[in-house]
Amino acid sequence: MTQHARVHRLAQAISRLSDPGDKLHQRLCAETPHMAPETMSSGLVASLTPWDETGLSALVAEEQSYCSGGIPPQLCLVVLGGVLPPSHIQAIAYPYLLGAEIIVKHPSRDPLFPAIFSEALDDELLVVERLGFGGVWSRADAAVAVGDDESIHAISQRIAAATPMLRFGHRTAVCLVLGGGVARTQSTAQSIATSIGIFDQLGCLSPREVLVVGSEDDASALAEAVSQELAQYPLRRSLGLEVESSIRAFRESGLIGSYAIWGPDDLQWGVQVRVGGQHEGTPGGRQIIIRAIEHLSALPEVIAPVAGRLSAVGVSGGPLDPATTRMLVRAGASRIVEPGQLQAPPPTWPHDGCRPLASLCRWFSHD
Amino acid sequence: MNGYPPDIVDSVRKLVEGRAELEYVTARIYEYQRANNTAYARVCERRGVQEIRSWRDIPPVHVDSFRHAVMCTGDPTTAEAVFRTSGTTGDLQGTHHILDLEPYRIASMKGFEDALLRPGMPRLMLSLIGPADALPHSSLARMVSWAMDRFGAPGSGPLVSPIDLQKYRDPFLLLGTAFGLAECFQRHPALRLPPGSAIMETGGFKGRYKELNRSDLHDLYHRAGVPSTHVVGEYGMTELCSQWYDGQIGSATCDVAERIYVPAPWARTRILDAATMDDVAPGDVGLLCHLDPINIGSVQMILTSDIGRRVALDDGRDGFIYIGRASGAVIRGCSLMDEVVS
Repeated sequence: MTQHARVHRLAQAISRLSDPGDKLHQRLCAETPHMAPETMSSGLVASLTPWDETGLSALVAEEQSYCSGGIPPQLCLVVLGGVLPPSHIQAIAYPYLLGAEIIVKHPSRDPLFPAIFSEALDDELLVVERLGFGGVWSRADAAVAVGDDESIHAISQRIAAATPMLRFGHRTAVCLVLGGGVARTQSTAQSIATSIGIFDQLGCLSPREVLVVGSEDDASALAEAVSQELAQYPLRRSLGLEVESSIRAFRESGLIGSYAIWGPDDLQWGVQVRVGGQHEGTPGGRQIIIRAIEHLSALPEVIAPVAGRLSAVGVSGGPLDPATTRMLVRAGASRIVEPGQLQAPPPTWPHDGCRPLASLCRWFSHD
Repeated sequence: MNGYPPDIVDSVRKLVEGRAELEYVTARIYEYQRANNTAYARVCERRGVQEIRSWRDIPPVHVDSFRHAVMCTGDPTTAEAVFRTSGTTGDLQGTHHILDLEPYRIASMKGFEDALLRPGMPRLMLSLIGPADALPHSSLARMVSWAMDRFGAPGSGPLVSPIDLQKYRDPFLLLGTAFGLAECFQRHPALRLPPGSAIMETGGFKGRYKELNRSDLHDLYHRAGVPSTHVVGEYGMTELCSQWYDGQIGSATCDVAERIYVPAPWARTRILDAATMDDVAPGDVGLLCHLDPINIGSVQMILTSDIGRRVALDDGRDGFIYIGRASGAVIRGCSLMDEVVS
């Protein structure tokens, strides 16, 4: 199959999952155990719309120059963790566009998605429950892993060190609101609430903190407005006792710490305000900290606990100055956009700072 | 006893001895703590709780609160002991100020005696936990030192090295953390304990379910000559003064996956739905929330991040099968939930 044909087929498959009228989209939304159907549906539409044929063609064209002369993989292992279809689609799309045979290890918590995506791709994927059988680890000449850091480390140890591998591990996102005036606009609150609400804040592109360059009053005003937005979202499903326990601990830390707290007792969502201090993050599930910081110069210190683990930064009231941008990129950010667009990256997004296709190829010298 | 109101101390002593009503004592402690613990008073106020009708109405504080605030009822500078959680790199340590150690000593020794000092069981006690004077901030070291001093036969004490265990010919009770015991028996696989020896295993399952398999640990004990009937698990934490045991030495159930932790007679456990804070149904899994009236100088109702299965006990109280501790990790990125690679 030509690369053009692969782009076409992949775009068709993705469009089925992002189309609320398609039965595969409906099945994915109805049967996913972790999310309310409407939450999954709106998330798929928002995040997959840029992954159309135009977007995928742009990725291939952009990567062409980087891949030139490289040898693409023949067999790529794709190990999926987590529960979010867009990150799984990305992990499969990269080796697929390079023409590799793909073996997908389905996520232990979400066996549904790979089967549905395979059906959308006309059963082109070999989906397995386990990768424990002999030989597959040594036969694979590339790998893509989505999961927690520990699992990715474990996978790295099972394949040869020189094997090209894309590792998408623990990451987090923040929002940055540049000024008290910006914090007090309804559009800022709406876009931040959108970025929290999509997929119940489970992805690495969902902010866990909003940093307001302004006063405590500015942060509180934004918290109030974001709360009003979140209160209108459909009910979320339980994320399991471990996560819900962490959310409870987060709520209790707010109670004991005298922080301003918004949110219902059943933990459907929660907003807390902090003044100064360093990034703490939240367990997700529509829980957010809005932190007032005095000046942008404090930013490196504030985000120090997540340095190297930032995935994206949503900026309200931008653009950022080049020095701050460089600092955020060095802290890991590979996507800096307006908050409401955080979870809708185009295929050309260098996920975690990598060239997604070129990173799976190999180069050689032949003197 | 100094540091606490005499009437409360007297009530607690009677409660431990089985001569006082739990509801009366815990209500009195609640009023005392709400009036004298600023942080706790704030929690009660923010929860909208003033009067209580039952111990179940007492507002809990989360165990993490001991990391974020001074949870002392009274003046922390007068504390007789300050116990701290071990913590991990980068974490804040939880701090539990104990104004007066005597209630802790009385209650912990009563629980220890009931679970571990059965007729015919060894009184020689050897510990893999350091001595209390070397670990002044460890509540566990304090309890173990008390127990050895009070109940131990001559020769009882902390071990310099686990390999010293092979010197003993008479049966003994070995006290250790799960990690300490695992390390001991994994490093010394040829080690055999004298017949009749027993083990008290505590803590050590923190962090992740998959870190330690308790059945594997019991296999190590078996190999060392100690049957599961002679291994008792103790559940406690820095933030609690009472302990929960999962059996009695000599008659503990061999099915370790079904071991039930039972509160001391003066303590209670609720197993709660994390979202609603309602009790889960018997057999269901939830967050453990403990009532410990021995916590006079801090807060008696503690919500933990521990996960357990509710078991209805014959006496009308609840016990639990311990499952693990929620990791609480906040940086999960695209994988909020763990992936199992195999």
